Amino acid sequence: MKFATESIAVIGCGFYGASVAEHLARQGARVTVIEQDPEPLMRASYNNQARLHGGYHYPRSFSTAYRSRLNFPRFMEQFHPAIRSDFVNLYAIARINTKVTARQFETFCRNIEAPLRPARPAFAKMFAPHLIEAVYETEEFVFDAAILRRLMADRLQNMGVEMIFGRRVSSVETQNDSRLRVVCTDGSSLSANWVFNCTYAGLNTIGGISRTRQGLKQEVTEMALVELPPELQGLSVTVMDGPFFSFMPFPDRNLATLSHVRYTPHADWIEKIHGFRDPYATLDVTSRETRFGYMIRDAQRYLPALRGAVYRDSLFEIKTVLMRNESDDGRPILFEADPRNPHIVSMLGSKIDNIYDALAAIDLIVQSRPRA
Amino acid sequence: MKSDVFVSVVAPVINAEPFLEQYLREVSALLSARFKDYEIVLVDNRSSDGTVSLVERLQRDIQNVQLYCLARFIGLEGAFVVGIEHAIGDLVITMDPAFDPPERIPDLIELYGRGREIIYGLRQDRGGRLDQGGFYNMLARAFYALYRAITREDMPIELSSFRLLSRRVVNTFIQNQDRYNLFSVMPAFTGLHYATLTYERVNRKKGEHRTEYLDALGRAIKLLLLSSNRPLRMITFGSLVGATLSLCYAVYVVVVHLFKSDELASGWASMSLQISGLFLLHFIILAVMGEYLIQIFVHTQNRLPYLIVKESSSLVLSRKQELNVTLDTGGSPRTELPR
Repeated sequence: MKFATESIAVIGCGFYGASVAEHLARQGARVTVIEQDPEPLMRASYNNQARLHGGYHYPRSFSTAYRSRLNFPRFMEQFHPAIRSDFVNLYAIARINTKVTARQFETFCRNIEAPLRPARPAFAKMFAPHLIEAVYETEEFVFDAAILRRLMADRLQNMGVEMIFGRRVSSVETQNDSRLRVVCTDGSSLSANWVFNCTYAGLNTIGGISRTRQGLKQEVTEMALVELPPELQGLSVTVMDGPFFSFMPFPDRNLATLSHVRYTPHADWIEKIHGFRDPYATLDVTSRETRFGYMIRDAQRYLPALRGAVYRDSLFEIKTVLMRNESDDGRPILFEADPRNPHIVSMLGSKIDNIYDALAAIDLIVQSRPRA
Repeated sequence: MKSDVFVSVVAPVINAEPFLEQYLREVSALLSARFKDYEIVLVDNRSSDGTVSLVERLQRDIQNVQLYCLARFIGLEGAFVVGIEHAIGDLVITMDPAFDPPERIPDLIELYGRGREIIYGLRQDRGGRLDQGGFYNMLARAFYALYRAITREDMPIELSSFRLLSRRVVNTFIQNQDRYNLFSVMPAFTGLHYATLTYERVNRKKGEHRTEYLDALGRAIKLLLLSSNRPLRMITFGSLVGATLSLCYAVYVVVVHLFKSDELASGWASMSLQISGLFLLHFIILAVMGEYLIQIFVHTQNRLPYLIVKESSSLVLSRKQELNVTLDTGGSPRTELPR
């Protein structure tokens, strides 16, 4: 393989950074991963609903949904110990203001070959009939982020990847011999042939790496952690409406995550319009008042049993979105070589199971640029 | 101490650009001082000015403003119902931003705190130049008096759009199929004991108020007929009486003809009267039945009463309170950000 002589620095050890590092190490490269947190998978990889997408979520984008279905079994097989499937997964289609009707949803699931059946009456009757048109049982799972973290750490260790924690990269410089020097805020540095920028929210914060051509939108988001009432234990519900909400098990805390498209985003800014600001620092100074009260009041109109849900905690995190995805369900990954130095690659993905597309893209770009 | 009760304020807007910002800031300041969680639900009734873009701009600055834009104009009452349907509060306050005073909101809530589930604001119009015009008001009063007489519902005549409804009342009201037309006569349907609050309307519009009499007449008729079956029953009773009288008259004609045939010519006037009376009755019956048939037709069509084309929420980047400098938080230093 061409990689035997390559030394690669991966910035960011979230799920993406760790997967990229492992993938490259497997091909023979010497990989170093640099992470600002004390452990891997602590930020966006942990602070999310951890839904293993079965494709149901994106009825308006066939390609996104179909790719999810393709990646689903592969992810299941590779990360088996981290997958939790011991719950009933319900999708409820709203009557009004919804962008998909029940019939359209059924046709869509048939087209992407996703298992779908009408929900058993015991489940269906929990929903308010004047607001919900139909309820289905689907096949979707969650992953335990803490177990995933251990899995990735073990794999990186087995592959001989050097892991540096607690250091934040401030810049990447091109040296005279065309090698790259990765400089950290504490003054330390290392050199490499390639740099992969997998910092998600911090994508545009590293000096020496050109800001991405595609604009980024940063959102301060809240995922509420709740204790479900007895009648909803063992269930996961996604309501498809104009603004939809969902709750799913969060195994690491033995609670459920509650997310509402209207109330989960607390604030946002578009880098190209509102100006660039350090997302981590912004998150630190943002007030973190929970919007659980709003989420639960809207949600319980559709599912009255939610009245018994008890608020326990919230996960606040920055969610980074590519600007062109506002009007459709498309969720492509960003994969951009720096125009000034093609050995610096910035990557951003918004769904964890998109990782296979990202790794395939790496293979393409690396194979097309041989290095002496 | 801020209350845990979640308050929703529902306000339809149409071409409200001149006064909407001041209104939003006033209501928002009032609510945020008293309540931890609240929302202001605005329903845009196809404004042709910059109302929508103004709200979207303010949503980056004022918290908890929710905007729904309708695809088609559906009138003030319909817009109230749309807002009520989308409000998520434990209690819902409806008000017309052009006319109702935000400073009376605490009074509504105080009455709610005393256990009242519905509170109707009763307007005290100063009338004349500032309002809809004395003549229109007079007609409105006459209509409501007629309405009360026909439907036998106990309803104050000075009813306005400034109201407070508890969640239970809202949930009951939105189950009603005719709710988009019935907002103004809601007290006639809940049957719940209500409280009233007298207040004075303001006029933020500062322009002439065009009174649409034909439109009002249409709504009046619809209200009357949707509210109760009594008009139909009255007509039925009336036609029965008419039929009986006609029968009696027919008997009378026969008797007269048998015993007083030489005076027949004089019967011409009364016969004409009878015929025209019957025709009048028939036309009234047809009109009423026609109106009812229209309603049945509309219901079976299952036409969407409204469609929301756009929805947006407030997204305000708000900062934590600054900690006291002498406290040792032990955390990492914060970066100062340009605002």
